[in-house]
Amino acid sequence: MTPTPTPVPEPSAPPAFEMVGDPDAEACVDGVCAVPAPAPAPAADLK
Amino acid sequence: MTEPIKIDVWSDIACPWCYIGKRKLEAGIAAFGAEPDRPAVEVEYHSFELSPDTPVDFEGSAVDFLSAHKGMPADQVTEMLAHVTGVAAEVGLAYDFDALHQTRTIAAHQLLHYAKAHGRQLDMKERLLRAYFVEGRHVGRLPELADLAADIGLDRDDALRSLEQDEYLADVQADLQQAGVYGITGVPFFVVDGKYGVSGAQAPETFHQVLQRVVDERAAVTS
Repeated sequence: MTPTPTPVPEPSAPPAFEMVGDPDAEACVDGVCAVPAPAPAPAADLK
Repeated sequence: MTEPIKIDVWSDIACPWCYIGKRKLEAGIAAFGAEPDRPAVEVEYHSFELSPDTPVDFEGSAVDFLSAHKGMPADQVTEMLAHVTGVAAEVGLAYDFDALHQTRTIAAHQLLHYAKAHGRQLDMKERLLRAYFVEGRHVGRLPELADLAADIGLDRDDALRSLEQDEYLADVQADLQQAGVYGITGVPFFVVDGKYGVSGAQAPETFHQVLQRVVDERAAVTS
């Protein structure tokens, strides 16, 4: 039996993540995979 | 029973640091879980497209793609790929960029949501990453994705049906939108207990420490 897909939730407002760990840890940004990613900047128009 | 600690991970199949970060996360969780009376850790992967402009079928190497589509000098790309290949080897991953098929990953992300609905997301994530970075499989073509689903015991025909019908496309788009709302621009990105953000392929000790921090905070609340 094919499971019924669950309803897709609306995105929640951005929490203020407390960033931990090495800020220079390598990540992929826009297809370039050798640089530290910038810390998240939540959408300004959301509370 | 102690409530599990949730880790949400935004990640792309085509992200070399994501596979490395996955291994480091797993090592950190294992070290945490080896200590007595630790709560379980639940990991859930969320979709993120590093390069949504990638065509499904690109005839060329990873160096060709990044040079042409990202405007990076070929020698810089080669150096970047050599570096990440070396780091991957340190965690037991044998990346083969010469065999890699550059492709758009949105279909692979739909398969991950399909697998999640069947309780197999973690196995599917591992199978897709290995297929892309180690085995040179084409993770943008639906029949090949269905084969990979069958590799972990899912119904090949039903997985193919789901992909052809874009059954989980909305779920993928919801993840992408959530990443935008959170301001996530680089992957891997880990959200621990809904509160702590961990960016990039961090050392296992980082994950161990943040999990312990959650435990300590919970103990402080209940004491």
